[in-house]
Amino acid sequence: MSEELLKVKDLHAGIDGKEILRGVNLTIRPGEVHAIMGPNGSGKSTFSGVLAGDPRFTVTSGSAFLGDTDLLALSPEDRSHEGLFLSFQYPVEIPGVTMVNFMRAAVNAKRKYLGEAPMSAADFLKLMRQKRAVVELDNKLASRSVNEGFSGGEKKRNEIFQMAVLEPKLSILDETDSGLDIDALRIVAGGVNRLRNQNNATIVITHYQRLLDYIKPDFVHILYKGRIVHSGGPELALELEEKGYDWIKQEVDGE
Amino acid sequence: MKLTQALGQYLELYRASKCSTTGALARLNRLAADAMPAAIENYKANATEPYETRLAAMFAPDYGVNINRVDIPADIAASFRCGVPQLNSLLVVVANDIFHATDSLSKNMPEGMQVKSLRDDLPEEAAAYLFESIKPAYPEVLANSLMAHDGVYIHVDRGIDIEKPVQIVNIFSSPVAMLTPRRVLIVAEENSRVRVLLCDHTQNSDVQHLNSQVVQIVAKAGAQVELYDIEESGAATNRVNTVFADIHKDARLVLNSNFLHGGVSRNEFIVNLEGDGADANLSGLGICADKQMLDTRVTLRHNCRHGNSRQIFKNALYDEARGFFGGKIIVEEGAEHTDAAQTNRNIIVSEKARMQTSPQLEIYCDEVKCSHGATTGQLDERAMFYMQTRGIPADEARRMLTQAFMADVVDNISFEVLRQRLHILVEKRLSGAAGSCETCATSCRGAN
Ligand SMILES: Nc1ncnc2c1ncn2[C@@H]1O[C@H](COP(=O)(O)OP(=O)(O)O)[C@@H](O)[C@H]1O
Ligand SMILES: [Mg+2]
Repeated sequence: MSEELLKVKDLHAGIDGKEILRGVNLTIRPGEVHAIMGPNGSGKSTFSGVLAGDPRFTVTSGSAFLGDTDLLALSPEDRSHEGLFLSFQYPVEIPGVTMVNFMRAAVNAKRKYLGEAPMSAADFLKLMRQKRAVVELDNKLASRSVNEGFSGGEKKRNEIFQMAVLEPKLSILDETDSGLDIDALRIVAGGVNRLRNQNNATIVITHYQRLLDYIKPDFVHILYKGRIVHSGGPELALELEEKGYDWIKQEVDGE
Repeated sequence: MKLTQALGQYLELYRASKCSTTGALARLNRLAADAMPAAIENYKANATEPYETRLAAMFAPDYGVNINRVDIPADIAASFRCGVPQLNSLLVVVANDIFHATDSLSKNMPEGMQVKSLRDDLPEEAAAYLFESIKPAYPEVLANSLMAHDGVYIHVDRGIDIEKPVQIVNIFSSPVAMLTPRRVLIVAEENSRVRVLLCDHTQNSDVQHLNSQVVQIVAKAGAQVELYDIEESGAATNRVNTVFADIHKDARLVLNSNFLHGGVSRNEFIVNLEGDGADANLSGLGICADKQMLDTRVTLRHNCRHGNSRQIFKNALYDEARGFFGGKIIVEEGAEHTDAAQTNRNIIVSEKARMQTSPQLEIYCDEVKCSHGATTGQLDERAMFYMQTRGIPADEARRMLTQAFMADVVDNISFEVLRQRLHILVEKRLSGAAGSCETCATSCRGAN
């Protein structure tokens, strides 16, 4: 086992021949929280999508390992089974697929991957009940179609609920704070904190210090034009909050 | 092959052989024989229709016809169980083209109802309905009428509400290629109600069959007729199915047609709303894989005031499967306050699958509400990816999304036992359980 939970080396990726990620390097160890910040369009969602295996993006060079596992060689589902989780900036609505069927399929697919038998109905219901409590998600949502007609806050809480069920090693939260009011933010952040331990890690993608008041990062990175142009401790986020991104842009674009 | 040859071979056969029918059926055979030459002569396939399901192609193979009324062994017939158990139905088994009443039918026939073979003595009115199907525009119906020597007759008396559904299990069983003419006539008198479930199964799934089927429905004033159809036959079983329905004042028709497995299936629904306030609800789903083909045609004619019609047809096409939907709504002069809506939605799951759809509206009246829409697309890629990131394998995600896509057609079925069962059949079909009749999801054979 390597010490690193995630090791991304010189990752280049793009869409339709247009390069978006232009050499990303990032190393994350168990127990850490990393924040990735940066202006709109920098490539933050692309980075999370590429790690999760979004077929829209093409990786042109570089590598990404989760522990000893070469992520880029796996299908999105196997990346999930290996312990990667992406909380979507825009969770997808799936009309006609109920939350409960969706979660059952997810839970049992992972068990199958691990060579375990499907979960019994009783155990499954118990699991759902426990994990819902993590983000105070209403039971009524279970019979509804995935994300369909959910409020912005419900969608984000639903993401964290799924994360709680799947117990990933590495969670990437892509702007999980956007569109949340302060109560929802507290619930979501509280959920994330409860799921943290010595063995897992979290990447928090955000624009705002606000979320980082609740989920305290160990490291803060600034992604700009497809590269991590600055890394530092929690104080970097505070600096950004104060000064905005212009100085970064100047620094990079001015060269 | 030209239609003259394709259908002409059966006309020759009819003329050369001794007629096995008497009474109304013999008359039907004769009327068809008389009408056929001109009908074939004048017939023109629609320019938009696919070649595979044109009549000339469907009737082209040299099928045998069961002129001598050879029955299949009874134990084979008895070994079939339909995929809709606990139905507690009035069961009829049609083995190839031969009517078999079962105990469940003869012992439980409700008061005010008849279910019998078309070979039995028929009231004149019923015979007249059969003869009405002789229309030059439908050579396929003429071919069926020419060869029909049996069938199912269902009659419900005025005001009678039949709770138990009639279930007609169609079985194909023949060692050689065979064309099977099937007939069903349903007459619901005023304010009566009846539900009929049809299903198709094949015993020798490697042998070519052509199911030539004509269903006629008459719903008199205030009556309600529901016809459900599940096609689950072998890959070498083709079908040319024509359903005529005449819906009178304040009467209601429910027609639901499901293609789960089969070969090339052509289904035409010709529905006439004849009396004020008549109502028709048509729906169907098709799950087509391999080289299967589903062709659905609807002609829905509003010829009354305050008529209401709803249509929803959905298909999912895999592999090299093909689909065709031709839906026509005609609103005749004077059909005021018509409310008609038609929807056709298709999902192309594999790159090589194809769908062609051609909706048409012909409106000869103001004061009508008419809408139609057709879409053909792929499964939502974002939804696929989202599900995969949760660990759901691509195949299963695809199945769940297709099932979700079909769900509203099934949910729309008010016949509860069937609705529940169909949800399961669709799920099983999508998980690839029904590769052929032997392995099919319904395990209608053998299971007891
Ligand atoms: N699906 C897409 N099609 C085309 N361009 C895209 C797509 N997704 C992202 N991009 C482009 O990639 C760049 C980075 O976008 P994104 O990763 O969403 O940035 P961020 O999350 O940092 O706001 C932007 O210029 C955006 O326009
Ligand atoms: Mg983004």
